[in-house]
Amino acid sequence: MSTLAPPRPSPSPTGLRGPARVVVRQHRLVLWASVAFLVLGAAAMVGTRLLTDRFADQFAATGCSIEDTVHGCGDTVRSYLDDQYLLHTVQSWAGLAFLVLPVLVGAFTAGPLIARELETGTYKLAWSQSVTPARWLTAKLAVPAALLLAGLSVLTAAFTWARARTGSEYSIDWYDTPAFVTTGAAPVAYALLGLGVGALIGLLVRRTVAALSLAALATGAVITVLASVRSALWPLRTTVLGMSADDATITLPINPWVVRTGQFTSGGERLPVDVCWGMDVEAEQARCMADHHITGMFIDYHPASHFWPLQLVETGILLVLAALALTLAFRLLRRRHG
Amino acid sequence: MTGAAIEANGLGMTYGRKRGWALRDCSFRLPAGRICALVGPNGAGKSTLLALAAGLLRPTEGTVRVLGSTDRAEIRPRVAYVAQDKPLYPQLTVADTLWAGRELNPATWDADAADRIAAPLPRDAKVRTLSGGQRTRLALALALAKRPGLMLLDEPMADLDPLARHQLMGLLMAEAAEHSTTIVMSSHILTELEGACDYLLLVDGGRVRLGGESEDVVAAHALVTGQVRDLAPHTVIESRTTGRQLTALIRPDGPVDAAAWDVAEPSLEELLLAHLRSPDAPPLLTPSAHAREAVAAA
Repeated sequence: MSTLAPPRPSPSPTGLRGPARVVVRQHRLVLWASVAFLVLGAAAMVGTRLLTDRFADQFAATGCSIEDTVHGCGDTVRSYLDDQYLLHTVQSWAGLAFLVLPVLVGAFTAGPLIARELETGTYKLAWSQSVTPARWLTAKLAVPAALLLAGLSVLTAAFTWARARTGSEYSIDWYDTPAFVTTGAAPVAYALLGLGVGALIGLLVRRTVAALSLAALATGAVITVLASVRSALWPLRTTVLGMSADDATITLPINPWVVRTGQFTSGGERLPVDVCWGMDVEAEQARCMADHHITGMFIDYHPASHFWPLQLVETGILLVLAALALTLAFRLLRRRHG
Repeated sequence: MTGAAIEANGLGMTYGRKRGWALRDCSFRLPAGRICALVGPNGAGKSTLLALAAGLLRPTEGTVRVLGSTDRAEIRPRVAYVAQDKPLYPQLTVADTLWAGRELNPATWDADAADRIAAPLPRDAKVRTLSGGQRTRLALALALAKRPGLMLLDEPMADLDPLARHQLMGLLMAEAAEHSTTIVMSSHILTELEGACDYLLLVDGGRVRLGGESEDVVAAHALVTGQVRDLAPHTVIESRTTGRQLTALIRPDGPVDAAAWDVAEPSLEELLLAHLRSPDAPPLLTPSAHAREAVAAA
């Protein structure tokens, strides 16, 4: 390591100044590991896309098709689908990694980055140089933020490019959680949330292991809550299916995100879809429906065109939460230590 | 009149309501250019006082003016502080640590001083492998190379053997003399600092009990021995009777009756111990150690 550390003044290869350079040197190992992880992730994404293309081309050359497995195409089709499924699995894991990353960012920020300095007392060294605590915290957060911004931009682009091709056989549906957390600015927003929550908890808890665990839990909780309320982030559309023969057609767009289905009564009240299920005799079921005054069914759904509104609202919420956590962190630092 | 390196007014610090006051109602002044011994028993508030002056803590009440300013952002580059446990980044090498010092103090960094003081240290060794004495040397190198107007050193010599202590103290004094740096060094062992310091602050129970030029503080006291009798109007700090013989440390008010008493000058150590054994003795600040604002208000 020491060979990398010329003690004489030298132009910084990273173009960083002062505290940020010190942060880089302190956490060299983690930063290099993160860069390696991001590069590997991007390479894996590009790899799946290229492999998918190759498998599709090879399959097309055989003249077989998935719909038609006769004429000795059975094994070819099976093998093709196996390959496609494998690639889908890789992508699903990559999607999961996007979810785990903010948790790791939160844990690292809270524990090794901030609480460890407070726990071991090295903050006394840092703050008795010519750098204010606020600048110290800014540098601590700016370095990982810059790395995440750059790395995740590349990774998101690679993932989106890879996903665009494997739409055919097995794909991540637009309404699946991985679709939301891997698209647009959401990965960066999630990472910033981890950073903000980590900073706040690190300063509050001041003990490495406790801060690390708590920040991971808190970030994980935000991710879970957001996933469970996601469908409510943009107004739902409702389609209605009447009981009479004229109304008995459903008008749903292609590939909708069906959020809720149920029955409605003549009074406009909504009932679960299964109130009259499990009746043996049709007449009995009809009586049950009449008793409940059920006049039709409804489906609450998001059309595919709601993806971006939903996704942007989610990103916005994340950015607001991250900004809030960061503001609180800086205020706490200023109040305690000036 | 030279300016004040530190001027505290009604300074108080508590770490939480239940834990009481670490420091309370402290008012004193340390003139610039002095080498000051900050003495007191363990838990007296020495570390708190130094951390407040270094701007690491925000006082619960009162103010502390450092090098004429209360603006922490302005003070920070001009003050060096070495905490008691000599905090350093364990994963950095000696060279990295000095490099970080330059990065964090771009305006004032004296690379020659840093190299000179850290010269005996293995440059490529990680800080975590250094001995206590080596860590102290590195911490002092960082502090001195910052070229501060005021150095605050909390128990700087505590984990050094006598030889290293002597060596580093010499180094410190030489650097301080050359750049007329004010130094405050805390210790609970006075002998560690005696001889090096010309100013004294005794902190005990969260309060400043003695403050001023060492010589003046000593000169304000007398060790008297004689037959038991009233010592008024002098202030008695501590007295001990052996048979009909009385030995007392007093603050003379007017001339002491030389016919009745054997008068001697106490040693600094006798003086401090007497004060620590008598917590009710009134505080004494020489004129230079009085906070100016407090004087103006009085």
